[in-house]
Amino acid sequence: MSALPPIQERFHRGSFITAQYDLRVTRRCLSDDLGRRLVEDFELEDLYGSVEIVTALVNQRRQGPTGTRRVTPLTSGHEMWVLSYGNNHRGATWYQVTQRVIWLCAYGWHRSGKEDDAFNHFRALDAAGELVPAADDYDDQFRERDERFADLAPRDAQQLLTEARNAPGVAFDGRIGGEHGVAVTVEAADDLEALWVAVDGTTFPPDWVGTLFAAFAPDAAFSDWEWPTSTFPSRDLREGEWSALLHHSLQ
Amino acid sequence: MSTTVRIPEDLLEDVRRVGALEGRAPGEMLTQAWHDFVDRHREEIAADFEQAAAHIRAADTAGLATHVGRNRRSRAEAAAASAQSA
Repeated sequence: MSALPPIQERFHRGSFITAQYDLRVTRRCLSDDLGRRLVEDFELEDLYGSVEIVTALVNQRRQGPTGTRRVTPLTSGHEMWVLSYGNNHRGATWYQVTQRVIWLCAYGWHRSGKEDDAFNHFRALDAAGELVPAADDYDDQFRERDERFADLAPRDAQQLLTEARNAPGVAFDGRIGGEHGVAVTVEAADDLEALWVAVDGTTFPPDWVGTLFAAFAPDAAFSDWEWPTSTFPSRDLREGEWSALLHHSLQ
Repeated sequence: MSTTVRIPEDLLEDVRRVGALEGRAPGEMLTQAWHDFVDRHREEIAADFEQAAAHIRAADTAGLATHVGRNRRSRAEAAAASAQSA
């Protein structure tokens, strides 16, 4: 049985990708707080090293999802963490577990006792309901994940299938779309092949299920798949996993 | 084989109540609910498969990206609404 390969930390479009979550900046923060023009082909990497708070976001939050101090008091009750760079650069970050993302929601200049202090800015945004990400932020995030999945899934699936065919009966753990863990086993007898696929149903997007099957066998019919099944031939299914089985002829 | 999953307490309470009325265990109720969900959406997933497979056979990555993101705006709006109440 193979081990699940680690996710490679890297910049990709508007994200810095880590194994546990993506790091992103909200559109409002980019335009209003950092004075950046919003562009379709925005690359977070372009700000790394030149915009202090973005550098701090990547360098500090890649190590862990929270800081040492919370932004308080916030009337919304959101758990925002202070991101600091030097004496005066301050940000508010929010770890949204359900979306596996840490957002830099706001940025400001810390001037104790001044009206335009960063923390006054954060609290005012919170009171107005503008501190957390908006629909356009999620649209950007989802579009980038969709494109990444579409770009990588067919190739990832075929690579896993090739490995599994070379060692029948062995479970191969890999990633599909560069992100989602998947296990594959092939069993062959005479001219028949059984392909088993297992994924974590708690994190795999329902909208991608058809594409997952198609990536492994684009010439098969959906009715050829037995799904969902609750067994896997070479190991027990893990918590939250479901499996699928495709029987097809090798001739 | 069985496993442990986390569901909201209020939902579990509802499952227990209905299960008690029908003389069934919560795990059995949830398994049935999952199979009901799959059965209800099977045609939709089959259509999803056919479209995705056509894009993959044609090596149409842009078309496949559009296909996998077909519900993106509604998901984004739901996520934003959820963020406000988190």
